Amino acid sequence: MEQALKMNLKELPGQEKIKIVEIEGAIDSTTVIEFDKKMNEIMSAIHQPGIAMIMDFSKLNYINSTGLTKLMGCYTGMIRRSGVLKIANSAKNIQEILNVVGAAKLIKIYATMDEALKP
Amino acid sequence: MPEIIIDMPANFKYVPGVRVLVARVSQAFGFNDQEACQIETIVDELCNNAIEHGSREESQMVRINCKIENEDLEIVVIDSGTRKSFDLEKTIAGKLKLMEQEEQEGRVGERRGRGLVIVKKMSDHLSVDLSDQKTAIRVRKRKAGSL
Repeated sequence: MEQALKMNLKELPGQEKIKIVEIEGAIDSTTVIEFDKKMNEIMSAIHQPGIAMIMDFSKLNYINSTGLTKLMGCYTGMIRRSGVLKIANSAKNIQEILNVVGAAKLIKIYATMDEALKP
Repeated sequence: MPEIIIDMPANFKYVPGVRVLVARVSQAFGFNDQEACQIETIVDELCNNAIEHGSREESQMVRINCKIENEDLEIVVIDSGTRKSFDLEKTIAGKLKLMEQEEQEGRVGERRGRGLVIVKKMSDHLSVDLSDQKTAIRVRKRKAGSL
């Protein structure tokens, strides 16, 4: 059982307008402060418009309402920066909770990273 | 009927282990993968709610009582909070209205408080019992295909 949170910022060569954040583990009440801190660090370094932040959820196994609140904060933060937040590779249980709270109607969600990378 | 009782100190660090335990046990009694994930979410949200609003100190306990009866899993999460009144239906209705309003406006607020709405949507029955010394939130989850 792996519940801890690991996050990694990945940038693709020649794609300076795309930032991929790989998230592994769980975003819950025990990890949400760490998630928020790292996302604030990543987002505070964004100073130009038109950035697409893609969260890779392929290794995210759990998110709860506390984590969703912070995720919504990231969505709002990217809008404020004239950018966009996308989610790729989310598992069925993650997709379900995004649907339940209405987040799936606002955040762009893609089945694969290839689809998320398209402009 | 099989019953599991877990007494957990009121600290968030115990919640991941408890939620996974209950979800795994539910699978052993025939709940499918999707239902087990929903049960994990239900237990997580109710335990976090109990710690946040009820048993606020680690010296206090949160009790998770799970009973399997025929096609149902009943989960009761009990904290030592002494809320004088708590209209669950009104609370959830208010939060749902706010969420729907935000969706229509194309935004999702950064406020907290979606936990009970999620529990309501993922369960078949949700109720609250208040007493002088404790608050018990009761959830029933039915297996898919059951009447």
